Amino acid sequence: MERIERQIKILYFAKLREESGRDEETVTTTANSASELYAELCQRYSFSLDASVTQVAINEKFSTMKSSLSDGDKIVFIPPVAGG
Amino acid sequence: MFDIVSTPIDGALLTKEFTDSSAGAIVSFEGRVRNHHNNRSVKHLEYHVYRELAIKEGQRVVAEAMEKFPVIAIKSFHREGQLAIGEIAIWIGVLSAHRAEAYAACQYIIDTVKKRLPIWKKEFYTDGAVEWVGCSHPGHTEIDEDDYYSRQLIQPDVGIAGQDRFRQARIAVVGAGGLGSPALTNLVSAGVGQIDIFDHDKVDVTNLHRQTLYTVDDIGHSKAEMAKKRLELINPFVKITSWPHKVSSEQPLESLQSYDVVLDCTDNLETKYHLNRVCHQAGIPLIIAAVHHWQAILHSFFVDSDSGCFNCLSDATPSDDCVSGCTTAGIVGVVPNIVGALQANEAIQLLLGNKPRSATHGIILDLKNLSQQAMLRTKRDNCSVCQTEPTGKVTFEKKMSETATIDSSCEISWANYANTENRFVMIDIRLESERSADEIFSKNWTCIDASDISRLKYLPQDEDYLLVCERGQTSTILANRLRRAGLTNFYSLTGGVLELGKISSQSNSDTAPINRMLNR
Repeated sequence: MERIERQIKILYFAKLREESGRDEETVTTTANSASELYAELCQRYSFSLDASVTQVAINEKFSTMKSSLSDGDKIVFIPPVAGG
Repeated sequence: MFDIVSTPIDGALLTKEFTDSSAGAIVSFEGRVRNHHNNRSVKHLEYHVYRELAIKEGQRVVAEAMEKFPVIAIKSFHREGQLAIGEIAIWIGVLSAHRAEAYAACQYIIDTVKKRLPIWKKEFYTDGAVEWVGCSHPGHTEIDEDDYYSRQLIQPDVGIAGQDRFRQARIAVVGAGGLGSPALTNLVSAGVGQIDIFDHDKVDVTNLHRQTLYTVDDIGHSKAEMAKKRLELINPFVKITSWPHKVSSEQPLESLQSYDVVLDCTDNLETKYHLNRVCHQAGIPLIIAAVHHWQAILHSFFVDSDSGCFNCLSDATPSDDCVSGCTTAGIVGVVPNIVGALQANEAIQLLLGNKPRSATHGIILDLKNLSQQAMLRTKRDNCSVCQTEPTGKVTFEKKMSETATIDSSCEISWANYANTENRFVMIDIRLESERSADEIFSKNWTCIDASDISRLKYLPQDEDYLLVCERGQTSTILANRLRRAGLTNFYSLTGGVLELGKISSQSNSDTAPINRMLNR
């Protein structure tokens, strides 16, 4: 599969924000899907959460990890939160 | 005068010093701590007092007694804190010219104080047991329910109709902690008719910085029960039920089908997913929130929508191992207090017939910089929860439309009105913006705003009043409300002023009296 470089803006939330040490960032990636991007980030930040339980929203819409990415997408990774 | 004191009361000294040269009688009463109650041996007891209210209410009781009985002066003190056997719990002294009124006033005060003051007695028995006794909350019968909501009633898009919708609603709040405290406080003070509180926990000292329903006196006691006690003091017109158990598949939500909304204010995923499942199946709207440090997430799930459920949001169901709750992660109290209040807001929007944004979007808040992200939700195709069709729960809208038509006996049609015109005093309850200056038919009507219920209540009772509004809905709700308060001389004009326009454009024998009336 052809690897195309894309610029993706990522917003982190809750536990992922703490583990990555940042609120948001823009990355250049060859990942084709949200799950590929998440795997890349797991490598970089040693995320403790499995992709299957992490929620993802692409361009202000909840999506699935299988969703493909386009240049300029804005992605929010949301781990499960339960505090109250 | 009346006061709450925390040091021993010296009855003899008080009696000695309470004098007036015109007084021919002093009646004093001492209520003392006895060493037994219901065949159990009592060691000592504690009075817990809601001080501010107790003093105010006690002073009111004394003022009432002064009004009712021709006495010279009244003094009374009630203790708080720990009392030993034989100590005086309450002292009442009445000075009067003659003994009969002094006895009567004294009797009135002790009976009324016991009934109305927010004072609770905790008995410590010699066998080590501890019990709250006679804990019925004070009934503020003298507070007018309509006064209570008056500032809410005058907001045009709430009004008497909105308040009636709140009154007819029943909401379950699961979790009476950081989110539950503000959610409950706001729903109870808004006047939601029935509230059910579910929480299996006990109040802990580490809860107090954020769980504003509780005081240091509540530590160690059931949250559901302490919350009920506090909330009943905040609004005595709401029926509150406490369920001090954990909600799970083994211990389901009681009366599930009767709830119009369920609020998830818990701190664990297991309960959130459980509530999502049962509420989806039963067709009941569910408002879920969670907080982490300065961030929060808020979802409202209204079953009949395409916006999916809580289970649609991730591919797998996460376990509680994935999350750290407030206990381990830490939390600043203001965050759950804002977010729990938002949950109450979303519920109130639903009750008013509005569709909040959180019904279609997950709302992520960052309170550190007050930013908000709204993310559209969609149903996930393979969601195991959404695959089952919900059972036919009666939606709140349907419930409201059904109850609104139940009692139409107060309604008078325009035709009836035209024929019996002189029987009624017409009350125009429309907003000023709804009235037009060139209306002829309404020029003799008395204008009283629908929210000004206390003014309507004090109209002379020997007249029949016909309430008129724009469409006839508000007037029917208001007439029914006044009738419930025993004022059966209030009626509602069917269809309101808009109906009149329709009728007067027709011309037949039925509309003749109306047209005659209009052209006069």
